[in-house]
Amino acid sequence: MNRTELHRILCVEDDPDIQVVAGIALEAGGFEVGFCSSGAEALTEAPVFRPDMILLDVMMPGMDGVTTFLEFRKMDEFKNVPIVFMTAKAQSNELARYEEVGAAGIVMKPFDPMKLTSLIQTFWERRGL
Amino acid sequence: MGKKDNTHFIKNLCNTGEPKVILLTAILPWFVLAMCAVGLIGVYHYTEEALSQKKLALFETQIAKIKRSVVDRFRKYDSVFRGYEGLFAILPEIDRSAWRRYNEKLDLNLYPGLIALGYIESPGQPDTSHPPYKISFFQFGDLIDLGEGLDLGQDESLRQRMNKARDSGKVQISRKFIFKDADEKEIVSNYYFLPIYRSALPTSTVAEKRLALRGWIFGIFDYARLLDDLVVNPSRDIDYEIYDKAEMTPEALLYKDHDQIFALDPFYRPAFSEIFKFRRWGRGRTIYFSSNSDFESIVDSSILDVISVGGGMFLFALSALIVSLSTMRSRALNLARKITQDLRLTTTLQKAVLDSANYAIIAAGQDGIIQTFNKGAEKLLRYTAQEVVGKEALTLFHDDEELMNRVDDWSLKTGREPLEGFEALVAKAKSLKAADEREWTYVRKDGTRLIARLSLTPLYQEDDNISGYLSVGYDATEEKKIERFKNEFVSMVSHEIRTPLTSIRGTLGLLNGGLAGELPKKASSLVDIALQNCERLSRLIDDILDVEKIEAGKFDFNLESLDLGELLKRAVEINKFYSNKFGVRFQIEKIPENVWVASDADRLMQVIANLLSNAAKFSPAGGFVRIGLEKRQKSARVWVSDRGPGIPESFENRIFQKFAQADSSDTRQKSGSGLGLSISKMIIEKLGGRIDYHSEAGAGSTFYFDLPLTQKKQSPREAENDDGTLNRKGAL
Repeated sequence: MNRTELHRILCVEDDPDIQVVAGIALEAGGFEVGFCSSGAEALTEAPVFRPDMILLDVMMPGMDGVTTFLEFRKMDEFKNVPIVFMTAKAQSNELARYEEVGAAGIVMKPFDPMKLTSLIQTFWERRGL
Repeated sequence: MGKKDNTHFIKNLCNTGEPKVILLTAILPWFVLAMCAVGLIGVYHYTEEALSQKKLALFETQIAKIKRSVVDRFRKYDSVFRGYEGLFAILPEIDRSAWRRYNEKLDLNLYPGLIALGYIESPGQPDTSHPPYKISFFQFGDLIDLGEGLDLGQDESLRQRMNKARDSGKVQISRKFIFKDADEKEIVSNYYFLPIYRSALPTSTVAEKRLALRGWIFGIFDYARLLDDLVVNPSRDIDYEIYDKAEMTPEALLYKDHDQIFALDPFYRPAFSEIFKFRRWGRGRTIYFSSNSDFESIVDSSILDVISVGGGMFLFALSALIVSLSTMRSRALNLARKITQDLRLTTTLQKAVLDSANYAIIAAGQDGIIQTFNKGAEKLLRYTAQEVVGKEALTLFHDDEELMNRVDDWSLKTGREPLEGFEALVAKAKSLKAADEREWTYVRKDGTRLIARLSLTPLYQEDDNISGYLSVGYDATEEKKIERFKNEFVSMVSHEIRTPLTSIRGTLGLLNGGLAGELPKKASSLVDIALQNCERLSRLIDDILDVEKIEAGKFDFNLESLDLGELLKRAVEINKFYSNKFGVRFQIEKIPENVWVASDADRLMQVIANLLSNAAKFSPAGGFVRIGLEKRQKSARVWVSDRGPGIPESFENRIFQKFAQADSSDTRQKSGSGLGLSISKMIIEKLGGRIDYHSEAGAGSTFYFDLPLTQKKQSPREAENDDGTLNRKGAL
């Protein structure tokens, strides 16, 4: 954890509208946001974009969120990058599973875009605890 | 097996050769008894015959002795007369003194049967029709009225006897005479005549004899005295009667050694009797011998009594035994037949029921060996009953690996030693003492697999020991397919509706937040309405999914030890926005400390939130919503009380039903899904509690739920878990 400031966020989300909403909200918060539409794309784009944090949708066509997460963890440069899941209201056992694999936090959909920045900031500050 | 087959089956069982065997075994003891009886009778008869032979021989011996004695006695007396004959032969003339001398020499006392003895000299005129037959000499006259000079020829019969003696040269006996002695006692007797001839004259012809006749020596016998001292029959076990002639008539009776006349008594039936006829002195004699009761006692025939009484008792006992045994036997047979028949019917019925069921029903013994395997099981598993019953264990159809995994799970949960095979399969049912319902992988005979839902129940004996297990299962493949489809559908709905909703919610949020520039006032209020309805739609989806999950049993509960007071305070804090939203105040009443329950914090929060939002919604603006916790004997009660309009009585029954709202026309109350209370009820009940309310129209309602109390905090580890959920709460 060299950088203490959260600057670049990679948003992996298959729905373009949500990409737009999340993008506007996060950019309004002063972050640099990159977008990917699938897990596979994220895995190739991430090393280029080098995000400080990854916002990962759980339900995606192709590779789902958890699989993508585990693939990231296999990559050296993303071993310790905090990853936050975005998911619809899930069961406690599912939530427990995300925590178990080491998610930095969970953003429940639908989310309030005006509170997204502060939520992400909270997760960033609590990362690695 | 069809119905027709079954009846045929029963008939077949009833028509076996069994009855013949039963008949034979029923008759056999009676046959043996009859044989015993016949044998006994045979022995009796043989013994009786032998005894009879022995007695007869004895009888014969006895009467032979008597016969000989009687004959000897007669001969002895005969010799007396022969002595007189000799005397006359040597003396050409006889005078009274010679007669007396001879008589004196001869001790006549030795012959008590001779009560008179005399000599009749021939009149010498044989041709005269009535010559005098006067007694010349006489001896003993004491007993009877006879004397010298008496003419015996006056009696026709005596005269004839004397003449016959003279003509034949042989002794003649008269008919029976009865004299009376001085005491008027009858003396049965007869005369004895011995002819005496002059020795110088020839006696070849009748004429010569008549010419040569000197006279007659006669005697009179008293049969009683003649025979009384006969000592050949000292035991007197044989009675005898002597008759004068060849016929036995009372008139002819000369002597009897007993009181009655047996020979003439038609009712007298001696064991042995004999009639002996003989001739002596020119006259027939008959002796009737009969055995008497003394004779019977000579020969010990008690063996016959032993045989008859003992044998009779033996036969009686044997027949009683047979009767009782055969009664018992027939009773037992009847009972057995009835039981068998009942059992057969029950079995047939059971088999029919089992076979007609669409479930795979398998019963196994304590050892796991299959005892029953119905048609359903044959169909499902493709084994035949014949292949597995009594041969294979229940575990045959299970996947070893799955079994092992379950066992490991079980061991982990219960902390007990892992079990193997069958024991592992039934471990849960055994510990539950009830049906263990789960999904299992079933492996068919051909190796293919299916998902089966099995209910495994232990079977108990009367003494509460497990006698076996019953496994009822069905193919859950289709069910699983539908469930999977439903799950997919639910998650599709959850995702596909939420995704656009997230965009809308996000867009509206951004607009409302001014990130797309300042909005005109009117537009801003419209965006507010859209936002609120977005939230509502979002909650509705959440609630529908919750109901779905609870009903499908997919709702997971994480039980942990909770301080209910703390939880309630936190819930009120988190849900404060409701009070702001509806302009009411949440007021927490005194909260007791250390009220511990084992429950799921998230779910309880959900319920409390529902109760708080309802109370806030239905309270008049500016009103109070009171919240409290009560510690009761075995439970804790959380209550939320409002001062709203109360619940109408008509709504009482529906309030916890889905999509229920008292009055949907009230716009202020439209913001709920109508699922909140029904979800709350389901959650509280799943947590082992109950939820209810009391209400007064116009005065408000109080909703409460009770949860069972537990002892303190249960383990510190769970508390850490509790803290670990903070991440999620941050997301709420």
